[in-house]
Amino acid sequence: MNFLLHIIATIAMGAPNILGFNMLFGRGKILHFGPLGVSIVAAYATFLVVMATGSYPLGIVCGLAATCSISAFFAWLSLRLDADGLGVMSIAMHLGLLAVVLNWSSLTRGALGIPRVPRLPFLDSTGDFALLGTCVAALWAWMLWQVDRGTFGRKLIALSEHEWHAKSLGIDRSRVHMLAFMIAGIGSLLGVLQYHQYLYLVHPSDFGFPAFIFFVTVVVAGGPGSVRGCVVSLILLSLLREGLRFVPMSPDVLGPLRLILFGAILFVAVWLRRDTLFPKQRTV
Amino acid sequence: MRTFFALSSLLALSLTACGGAGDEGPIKLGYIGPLTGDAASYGIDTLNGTKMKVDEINAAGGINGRQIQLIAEDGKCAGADAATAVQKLVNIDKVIAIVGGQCSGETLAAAPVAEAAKVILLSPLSSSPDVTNAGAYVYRDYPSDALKTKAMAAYFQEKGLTKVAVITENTDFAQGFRASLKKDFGDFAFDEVVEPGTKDFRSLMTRLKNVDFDVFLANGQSPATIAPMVVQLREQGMKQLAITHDAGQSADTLSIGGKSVEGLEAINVPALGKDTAFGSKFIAQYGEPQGAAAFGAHAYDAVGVLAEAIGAVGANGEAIKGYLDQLEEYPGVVGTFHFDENGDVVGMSYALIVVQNGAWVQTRPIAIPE
Repeated sequence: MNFLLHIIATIAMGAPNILGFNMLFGRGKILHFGPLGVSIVAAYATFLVVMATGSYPLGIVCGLAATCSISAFFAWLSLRLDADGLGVMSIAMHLGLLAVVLNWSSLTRGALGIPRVPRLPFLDSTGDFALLGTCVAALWAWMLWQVDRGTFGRKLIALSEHEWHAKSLGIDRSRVHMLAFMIAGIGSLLGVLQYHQYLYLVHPSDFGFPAFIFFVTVVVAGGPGSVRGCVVSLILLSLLREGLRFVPMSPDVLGPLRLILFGAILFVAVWLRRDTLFPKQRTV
Repeated sequence: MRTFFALSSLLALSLTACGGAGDEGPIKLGYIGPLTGDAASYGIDTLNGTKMKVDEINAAGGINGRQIQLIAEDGKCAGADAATAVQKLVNIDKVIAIVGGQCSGETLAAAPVAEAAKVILLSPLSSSPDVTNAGAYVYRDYPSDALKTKAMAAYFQEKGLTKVAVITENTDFAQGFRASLKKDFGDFAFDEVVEPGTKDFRSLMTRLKNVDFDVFLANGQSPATIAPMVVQLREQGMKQLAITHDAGQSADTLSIGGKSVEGLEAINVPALGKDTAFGSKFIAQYGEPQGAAAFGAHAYDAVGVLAEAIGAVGANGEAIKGYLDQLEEYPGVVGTFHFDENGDVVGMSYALIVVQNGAWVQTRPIAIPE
């Protein structure tokens, strides 16, 4: 039962960040490859303050401020760079932020990470995290679904399809991008806030490219932009990933097999969605 | 895409449903370590050491007539994967004890789950000082960096080496070692940190050439980094003593470094190469170690001490903990040891091991100051 709760908790805690990324990358067709960069800032800002002061409210306020700042910066980049330029720049930003965390060891403890992260008083067992994570993820998914189906979602789609036409209809690109990045950033904060308490640990290895590749796989397999598809894809791919642990094979064979399987899933999903995946102007 | 979802659901559900069958027969022992990814070489060595001891115990009739069933999980050297691995081992497989994690991040993430379930987590490789306070059910038979660097600092003092140049790979192991040595020894004459996996140190070596230093510490995570450091040090004509630690004392260092690593010293647990009973048997069974036979030896001893505890007090986490806390000494292949009140290994001896004529040769023991 605990293992099942653990799987539910990890899926639920990952959902806000992935759904936020889905809104940007999937719905908005914004080639933002730095969601883990935002997570780094959110996690370190929050938990460094929590560890230094012992105050969660203060940590959350600082984490929120830092997350909004870095999200605003990414939004600013998205307004000033072409899609491919933003893609490269956001990767560079992610690597840069990771390098800062790894090398500013007097503040972040570098590669050693931050151990013994305290938990909020009402978060004790795996069940508590599964319950809270599921509630937060469900609310977040519902909210994003509403946003997606509302005016904001249509504006995001219009901008992704033809920016000039959208602007001529009165859609403010700066405002839409800024809001979209802020929403994705808050999703990121919601995820890390729960996840690192659950592990009692903030470690740079949690923010590497393998985690980002999983994000992309989930969004692409679920149908870019679809909140429901992304949730289903997240659940199934997570179950598949953890379910493979039960295959009666030697772990040194199973490990590489798992990597190959996920590579194959990503390949097939990208192949099937090759016409709609990347920014493309609507043509007649 | 609907077909994809349908097939994925079916596969995922059927795979998840495969686990959980309880079995009263064998004693279940878990293992967590990096079996894929950059740190897989350590995981493979420690898994082989674990398997070797389990096979020996099973061949000798098991523990009080019960065979050991080893269940290995890939922790990928990451906290997230280690957390899932320990949840499965504890809640699905119902293991009695776990050998692992290997990377300190794995151990720190797995510790709270093991602690809550009162399952012993015995790490054969985590060296971070943070592991000391990871929990009451967390032990390790691999010395903390805090102990290892005391031995190195004492050696430097004994040889009158006062100016130390260090290049550190930015990984938890190497950074932990650097921080601990700094605490024991003091400031370094040259102190640089490079990104994980760096192989080209020539610009740093050019700068180092203008620094007055007595000894160069190649503080990497693996031979793939440590050997090029020493090779490029010698390329620049620097003849000062070069030293490393257990991560560098490997056959790979010799094959990568060739003649350039001749005279390279390492402070490590006593040599476990081909000329020792353990080393020759390990190599005969699993081939040349990916990292170092010593890693396999620590895992071998971790299984040994757990088996001794289970044999004495039964398959109960609290009873095993009581036994390990009271243990006076365990004669392992890495030395005779016991555990302190934090679960850290005590009694581990160190030796100076030097590359002579293309082979690692143990020259003398190194004392650890009280």
